Amino acid sequence: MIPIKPTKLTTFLILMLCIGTNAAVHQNEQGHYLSVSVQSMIDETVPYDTLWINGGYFFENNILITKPITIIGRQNPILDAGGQGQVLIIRSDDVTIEGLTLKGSATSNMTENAGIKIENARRVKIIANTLCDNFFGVYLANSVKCVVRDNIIRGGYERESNSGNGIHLWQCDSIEITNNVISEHRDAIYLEFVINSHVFGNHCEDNIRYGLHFMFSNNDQYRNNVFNNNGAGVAVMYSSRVEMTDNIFENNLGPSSFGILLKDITDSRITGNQLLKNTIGIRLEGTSRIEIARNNIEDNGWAVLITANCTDNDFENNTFRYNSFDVSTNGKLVLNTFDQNYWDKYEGYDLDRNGMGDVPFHPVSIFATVVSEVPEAIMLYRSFTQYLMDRAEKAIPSVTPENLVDHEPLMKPSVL
Amino acid sequence: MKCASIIALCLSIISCQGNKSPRTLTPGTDSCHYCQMTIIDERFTTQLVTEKGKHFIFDDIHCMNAFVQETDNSSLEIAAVYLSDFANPGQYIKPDSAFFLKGDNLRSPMGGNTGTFSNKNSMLETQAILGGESVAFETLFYPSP
Repeated sequence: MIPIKPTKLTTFLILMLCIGTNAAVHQNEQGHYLSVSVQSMIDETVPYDTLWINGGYFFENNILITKPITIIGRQNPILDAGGQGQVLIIRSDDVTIEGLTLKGSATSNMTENAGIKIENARRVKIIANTLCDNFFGVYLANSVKCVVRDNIIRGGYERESNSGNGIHLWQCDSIEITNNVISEHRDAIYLEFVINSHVFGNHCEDNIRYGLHFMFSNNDQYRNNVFNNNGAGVAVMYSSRVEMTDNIFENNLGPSSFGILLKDITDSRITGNQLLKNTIGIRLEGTSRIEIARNNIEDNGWAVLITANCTDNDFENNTFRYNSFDVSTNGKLVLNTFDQNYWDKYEGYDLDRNGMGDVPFHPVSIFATVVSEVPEAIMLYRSFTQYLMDRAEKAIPSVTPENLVDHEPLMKPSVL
Repeated sequence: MKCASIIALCLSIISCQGNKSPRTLTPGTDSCHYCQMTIIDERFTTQLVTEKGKHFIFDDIHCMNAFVQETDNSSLEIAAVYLSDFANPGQYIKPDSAFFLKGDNLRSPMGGNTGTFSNKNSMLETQAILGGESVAFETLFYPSP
């Protein structure tokens, strides 16, 4: 039993004097060592208690919380599932978990074991924890108005298929995911059937697949995130009304890699983002009514790949610089506008000095079209053959779509 | 010497015939031909091989079906279909000898939520844990005529 038991007080103060290797060990006033577990401490609390854990190494799994309590860790208490089951399972509203280290949930083909699993709960807060070596990091299912803030989440798995997502949301509403650092997971942040949620200021790097992944998730926003060196940056699929603002996507390199993948997306906005050094900056497939404005698209293989089934997308005030290819498409039909962007490949002039070029710019080069069909043709990049093809196509357009054109190309990059 | 060169020529021609056996995938690098998602979870992957030996890779049976629905079947000429064994991810089996389990707890990347099993026992074992129901291949994959 716990020696200091303030029944009237709402706060337990448990000082871990000694750290055992296998089970948490606690020393009482007589100097006897007593075993305590986090589960037994939780069982002794009453709703709305605050449980303080000062240090300690708890070798425990499937710790279950079914009442509204706050757990605050000081001096880095560690909860280790040791590769068996999950670490912490929350099935109650109004639970707060702060300052713990949770590790070692089991890899499984059958169940989605997580460091912290939150099921059917409201107003749960996960703040400033460290989650490492877990299959899934934080897993929220069927939950509303939860906060996941300031956590460090690291998968620690070798680069292969058996790692889960850093933060995984399934059927949630109004979740805030802010200022987390997530690495070495499958997808850093994954949202499936999630609405009205915010993903702000997270840093996702070195994840195997995506930095952020939307599936069937409407009315969401992500802003000020950094997606660096992931398998690919962000995939937004089968969703509507997603706002993507002021993020940085960089170093997403690989044969099918990209900064942003948009697949079957409608009514969304991509503004003020930096897309740097990606194989493909933005890839659009079957999207409509997207505003893509004031982005800086720099140093990519392809700045934009857009399929012919995209409609009413509007590119405006973007800066296209130092990309190998600016725009590629797979058909002649173009139902999107590309007016008033800055293109570093533009060779026109501005006689009336209104800041916009007097001759239109065609961002699709025939060589880009050839390379997107036959990737091996990249061998001829910057060769005389390429020069010849591009010049011939410019004089007599035959393959490239004539109406994919910037009628008013900017003479100077717009200030971001 | 002449004989050897003829054999070598024959071999090179045979090798150009196209390989209709399943291809080994590299999770994290290969991507689904239909939805473009990077393949990670090899429990649900499928492959479609054409008469010419071209391999189309999918991360989910749903994607393979959507692809054949949207593609002109006469131009595709499907030679074989392979599905990854749920119990042994990366082992590809043909649908005619396989068993299929469909259920919401089998969370596949694109919502096909169907696992393929090489024998009935392993399907029943998985069903005992995850639930779901046994379905026929024809309800999952139906190329338009």
